[in-house]
Amino acid sequence: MQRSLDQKKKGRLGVGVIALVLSLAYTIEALDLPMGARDRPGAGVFPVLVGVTLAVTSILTIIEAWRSDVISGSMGLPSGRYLRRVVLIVVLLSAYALLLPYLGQLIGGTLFLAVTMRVLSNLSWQRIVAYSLIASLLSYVLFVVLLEVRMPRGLLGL
Amino acid sequence: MNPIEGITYGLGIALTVPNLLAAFIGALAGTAIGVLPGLGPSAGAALLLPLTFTLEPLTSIIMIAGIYFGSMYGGSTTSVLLNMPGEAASVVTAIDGYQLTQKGRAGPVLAIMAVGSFIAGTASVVLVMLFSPLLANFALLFGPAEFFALTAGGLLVLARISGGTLASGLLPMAIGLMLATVGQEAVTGRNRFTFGSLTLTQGISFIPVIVGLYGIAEIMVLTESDRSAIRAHTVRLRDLFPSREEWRRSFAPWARGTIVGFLFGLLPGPSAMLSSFASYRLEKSVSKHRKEIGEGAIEGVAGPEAANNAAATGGLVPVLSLGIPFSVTLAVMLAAMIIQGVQPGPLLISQRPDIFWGLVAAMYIGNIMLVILNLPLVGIWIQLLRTPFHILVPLILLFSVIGAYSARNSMLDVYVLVVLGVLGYFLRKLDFQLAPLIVGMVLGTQIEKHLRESLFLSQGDPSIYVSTPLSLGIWLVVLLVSAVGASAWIHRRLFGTARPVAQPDSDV
Repeated sequence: MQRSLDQKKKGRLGVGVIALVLSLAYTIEALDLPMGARDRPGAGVFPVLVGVTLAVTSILTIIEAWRSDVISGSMGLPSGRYLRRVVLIVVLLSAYALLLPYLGQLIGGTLFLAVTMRVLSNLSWQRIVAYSLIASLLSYVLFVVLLEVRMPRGLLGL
Repeated sequence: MNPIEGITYGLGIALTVPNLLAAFIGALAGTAIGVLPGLGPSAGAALLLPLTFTLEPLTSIIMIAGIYFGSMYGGSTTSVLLNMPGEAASVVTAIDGYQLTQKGRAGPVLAIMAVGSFIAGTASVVLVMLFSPLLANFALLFGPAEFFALTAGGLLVLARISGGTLASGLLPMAIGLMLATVGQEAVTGRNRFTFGSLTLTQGISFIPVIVGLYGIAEIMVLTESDRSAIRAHTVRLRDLFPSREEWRRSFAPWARGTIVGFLFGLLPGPSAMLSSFASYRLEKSVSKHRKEIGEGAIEGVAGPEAANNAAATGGLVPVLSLGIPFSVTLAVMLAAMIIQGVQPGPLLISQRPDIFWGLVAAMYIGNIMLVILNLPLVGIWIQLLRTPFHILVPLILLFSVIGAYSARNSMLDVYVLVVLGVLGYFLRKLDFQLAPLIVGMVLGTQIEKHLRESLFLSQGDPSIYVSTPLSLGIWLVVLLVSAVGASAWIHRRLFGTARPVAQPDSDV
């Protein structure tokens, strides 16, 4: 019988396949580790067991997605401008993370706050600049100055 | 030390200015985390954990405990006032709690909840105080095989009990175990899966993993829709007093909830959530006013709220006396202790009585502090809820990045945060359970240690894993729960369906 695969099943199938590939790569890498003797198990024993467990559970995920209808239906992913918003948030967060070593916390953080606020609201740029500057400075004082968290200073040393 | 001597000693240690301040700040920050959408108890505690590194061990543990209990309180407040449970353990509270709010009884409900949580919390601390030394003494007899059964078996049960299908819990569990093997291995010092990276030799930090899976992923879900400004009614202090009738009807549910909650807390699983469901169903079948439950009965709030607090406290017994956390938040607590050089386990009470009794005393203090914080300050918490979404989301993301980075001053942790956030979002959309991933990651090192020590001890004979009645017994229970229909039975009893597909992912 031809089974139809809806969004959730396809998604879980995908997760299962990716995890299976990962488990194979991981297990191959683990097999290079010393196994030790039976009474003196080496560093590779547990990783090999974990790799096999991951492979088995991946196959289980694939079979479930293929054969069972318990978990099925729509994934409830956003669409239209909501989809764009979620994607934008992730892109902005990634950009912040990638640029942090170069921009430093003060500049990087302020820019991130400003652009994210803009994406999420219709506030005017003046307000956004004001809010993000205040929020960024306050969090900088709290974390970097008072709590002595050593955030990256960036190329300008800020 | 008997319990009376212990608690006197503990109070002597806990009643210092830094510790009281830590309990206060923890409770305050925790309540804010619980009230605000976006960060639950675990992500909140993980995020604030790096900030406690410089504190004394006990002070830091007290603060984390404050955050944990505070966020449970805060989550219940929003579920009563807005029908918006802050975390999974207060989902049932919203049923009757919100109905009562609509009938104009919001104030008394909050008071009954706070007092109930206080009573349950305090009673459970007494039980923790009595139980933990007993369990620890018993656990001194355990060998590596028993500990292997407890850790690996407990993890399996957690993965099965968390809900969904077989793969929904087991696949994340395997991923968590895999993450735990990255880095320098403890016995021979061999680097595993580090690919030449110096940062990776220290392993993957669980802080960005938890904040990513629970915090960032949750933020992504929140931005999927427009959120209208929240209009919660202000509750005035004088409106808080319950009527005599409401007090009278709450006593029995509090007592029942406390017992149910504490017992659930001792077992693996999302105990705070399960116990609140269990208590709700119990009230529905035994309460004198059972017909009203579901339509706004105080019993439906008093029981579950006492239960989830007792469960949160009861969960400390396996952490303190065995070193085994059975929920994500407890895993954060365990990690906090290990980072501070305190190894929870059977020897903790005798070797570090200052930590054990200090924590017990601090929990009494914390419970009192939470009642004081929550009732009169309820207006402030409502104000906090009015923070515009477009301010809140960027700030939480900013704090998440700072928190992830600050633990080890490592950019790798920031990248892990982002990647795990996206992964968590999709896993959640696909009904996978995230708790087994975190607990697997935290327990992985211990499981490996016990696995290898057992074989070392038995000179390579694998039958050691089931050689004593205790280890054999544990494995039989695990088998029963995970393979046979026991988990389906438990779900049927609690949720009314055999396989709750859309069950909230619980982190407490």
